[in-house]
Amino acid sequence: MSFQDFLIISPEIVISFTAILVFLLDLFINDKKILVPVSISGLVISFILTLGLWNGWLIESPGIYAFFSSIKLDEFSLFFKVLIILSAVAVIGSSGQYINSNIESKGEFLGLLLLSITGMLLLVSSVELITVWVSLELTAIPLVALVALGKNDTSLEASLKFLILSAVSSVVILYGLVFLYGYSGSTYFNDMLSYISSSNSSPGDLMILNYGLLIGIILLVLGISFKLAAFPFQMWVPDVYQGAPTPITAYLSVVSKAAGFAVLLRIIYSVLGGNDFSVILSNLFAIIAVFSMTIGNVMALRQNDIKRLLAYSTIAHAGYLLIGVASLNISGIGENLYSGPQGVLYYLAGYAFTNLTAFLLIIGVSKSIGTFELSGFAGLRKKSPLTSFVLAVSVISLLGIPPTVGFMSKIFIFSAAVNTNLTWLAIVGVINSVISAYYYLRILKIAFVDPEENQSEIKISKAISLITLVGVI
Amino acid sequence: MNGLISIIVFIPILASIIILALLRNDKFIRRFSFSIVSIELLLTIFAFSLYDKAKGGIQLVDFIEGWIPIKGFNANYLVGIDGLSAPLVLLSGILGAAAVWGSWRIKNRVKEYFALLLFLQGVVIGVFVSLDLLLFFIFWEAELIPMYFLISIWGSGRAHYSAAKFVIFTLFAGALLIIGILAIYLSQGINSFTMVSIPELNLQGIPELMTGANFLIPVSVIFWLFFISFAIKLPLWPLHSWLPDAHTDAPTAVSVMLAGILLKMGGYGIFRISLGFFKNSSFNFDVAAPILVILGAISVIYGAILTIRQTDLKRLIAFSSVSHMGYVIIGFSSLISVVSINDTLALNGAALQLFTHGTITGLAFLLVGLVYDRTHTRYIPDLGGLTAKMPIIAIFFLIAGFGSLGLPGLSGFVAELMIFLGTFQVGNIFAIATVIGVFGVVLAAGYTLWMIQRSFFGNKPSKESPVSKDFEELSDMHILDVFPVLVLTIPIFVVGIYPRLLTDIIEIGIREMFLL
Repeated sequence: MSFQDFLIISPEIVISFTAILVFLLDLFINDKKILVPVSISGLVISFILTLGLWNGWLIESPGIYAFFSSIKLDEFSLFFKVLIILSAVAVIGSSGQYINSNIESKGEFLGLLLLSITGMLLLVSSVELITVWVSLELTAIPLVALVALGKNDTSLEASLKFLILSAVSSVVILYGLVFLYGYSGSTYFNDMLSYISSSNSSPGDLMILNYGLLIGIILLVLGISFKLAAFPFQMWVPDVYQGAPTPITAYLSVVSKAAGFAVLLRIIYSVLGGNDFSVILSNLFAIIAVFSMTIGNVMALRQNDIKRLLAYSTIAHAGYLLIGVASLNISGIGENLYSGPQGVLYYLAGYAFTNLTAFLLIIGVSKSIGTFELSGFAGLRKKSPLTSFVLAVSVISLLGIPPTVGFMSKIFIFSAAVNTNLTWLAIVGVINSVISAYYYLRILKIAFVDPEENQSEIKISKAISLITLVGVI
Repeated sequence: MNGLISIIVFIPILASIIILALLRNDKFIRRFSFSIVSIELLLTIFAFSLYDKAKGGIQLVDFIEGWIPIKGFNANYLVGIDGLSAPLVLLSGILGAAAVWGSWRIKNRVKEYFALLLFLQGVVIGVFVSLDLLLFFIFWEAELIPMYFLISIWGSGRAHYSAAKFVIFTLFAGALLIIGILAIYLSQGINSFTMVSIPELNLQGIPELMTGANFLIPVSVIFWLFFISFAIKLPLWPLHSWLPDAHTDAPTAVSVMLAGILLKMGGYGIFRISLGFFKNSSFNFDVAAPILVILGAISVIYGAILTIRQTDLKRLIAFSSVSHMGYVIIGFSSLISVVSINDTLALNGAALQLFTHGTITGLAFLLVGLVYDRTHTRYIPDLGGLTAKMPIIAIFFLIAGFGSLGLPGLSGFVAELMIFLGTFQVGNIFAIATVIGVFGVVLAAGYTLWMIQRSFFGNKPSKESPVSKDFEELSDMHILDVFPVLVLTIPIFVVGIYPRLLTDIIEIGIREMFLL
């Protein structure tokens, strides 16, 4: 363990120290308003450190290992770190007002959120099974408390649901990891890869090895689908999204999902590279994708609560992303242009911006109108033209119509699918985006066409709207 | 004249952004939009006249390589016009002007209305001039945003339902289209989005590359993906059900745009892609063409029969569009027999039908809008004897009606005659389908004349009709309505009397699809 190792995880260290600082400040200082700026400055420092790592200011060349090869710093993990930190800054920064007025225990809220972010950052760079597991738990446990921090009963109920399902999914993941370890004899991704690819046993042994690994992988994928908000662990999503404080909902729908995809891609490509699982795995992901998209889109059709609606839309988007994962291309991450992983990364970045915009607007708007019912958005156009315009842009982007980032993301994902002979999956995907048009259009109709029902003013920071708007386009 | 086509595409789009972001005064916005579409009309006429028939090929090309800055993604910004798209660009200029000029009565949310209408015009022209598949698709989909808002905000009746139905049908068409585009792009030996070959720029287009390509999925599947997508947009029976709703509930100017140029996107796609790409591939038209001609004939007859039964003026004209677009497919199916330049008569006719139907139906919708503004009903049994009160509107309505039923001397006749002559020569099932199609003209005469007779001539509205109360106060056309009506009427006569103005240029476009 050298000093360089600590430099490599310096973004994580900074954030966890900020979390501790926030807890301490919360105890000793009466003016709680200072907590939000403190958290943000911690995130910003960590962001600068991440950029430093990426550009080689702190240490030479990315692609190095730390802490006995359990953490790997490469462009893949740096991409996700940047994405996660930026989204976290957006979530905390824009909900400062919400936190100050709606959350009683502000210190716990921010501190736990920061701890969960630390877990995410570790997760995307870990290349060893136990590190993966520990970081997963670090992300999940604070979230259970965070979901419960809303003021109402639904929040408690949501938290309990989240706790139980999160525990189940953790156990399933752990079980999968045990299989992987048992059949490959190592917890390090690299050793596992070399063991699997160089195994010179007899064909019979190889088959047993393969089946063992396959069971492990399937369990792992099913468990991680909880993080992705994908089939078959998607049931918690609407209830928890509805019950949780809205900033946490935004965080869950963007950051948590991104980290889940990161660990999924990492394991597929660095453990199973070049193995003959690819057909089975590809089919597995394709099936999960089809179910996620269809369930998400069909269920969203009848929702009247904007948070529930977006929850189902999140499930559907996990499905589209899984199309990219299913388009397996074993040559490696980012090497082939039309490869699924690249599409997934692009899609995640675009989706993060779009969905965050949508949620931040909802935080602002629903604070003024006091409801999450869709009908509350009626007449939004008149009350706040800029907000409604940004809402329209983000909805159009979620729907995937040009000239928005959502459109290009879908093109990438679908071209990856067609390129890997999964044309049928691409067709299911595009038909699903047609279905999704129905409920996205409803949002637009209510905001732009329906007459306003109540006279309440809608105040929302114009700066936030503009920044997020630029992001979407 | 490099840059002209890009200017034509982006002037309306830019103007719509200016309106949204900067302008506040309703009166000024109206004048500003009027002048933008007038400039646009002049520019499209100018571009049309610049097209050098002796030289042929793609002209007025603007090319920016590597438009999407991703390594290996061969998407370029490539626009230009050829014999096929030049008339449609001209048509978009005419229809855009008519739609905006005809909207001077709009009082509700003026700013958004004109911004969206101009944006719509820009992106539709973009569809016609794009020579890069990805760009084509971006414009194709972008058209949905303004259409959705225009129908659902300013529409009448079940406006939101119709708008959503329109968007969902078109998105479905777009879904099939993008799969087709990706399947072609990712096929071995193509890896290009370029829709035509341009020797001057050293660009090899997909039509040229199709011959030696090794397709990811069977070529016939790709063909039908594209064809169904365009057939929804056209629309062709049995995929037409979105059209009557969208037309009926849309505001007048939007119906004009929808019938006039949005349907033509489907027709244009059929020529540019279904014909242009697949004629030189291993795809076998021997099976497809008879299916197409049968679908076309069913469309013509089915559309016409439904039209007769309509009691709503707008719905009636909407259904007649289904019938008229059927002729396009009948003419298109004659491509099976093309061996020399003399065999393209029906194809030329079909392409001409796109233009003539645009002006004729656009005019009809505009006039229905005028009638509705005065009588506040479109229910035919409530109308009657309107000639007495609005003689000028009646005259123009007669022109639109006669154009639609194919009176010699008006443009509809030329196009339909070319289609019938050309397709009949192919023989067999094509001849039979043509004969059936000709009966569509008889039915067209029936529904058009009957509709005009019931609403404009005959007795005054009966006592029960809501119109009868204010019948004496009904006024004729306002002076400001003359401009949009005239801009649509002139092409009907000009093309009817001197069709070579368009057919010469269309012929060049069609010819180039066959001879590479």
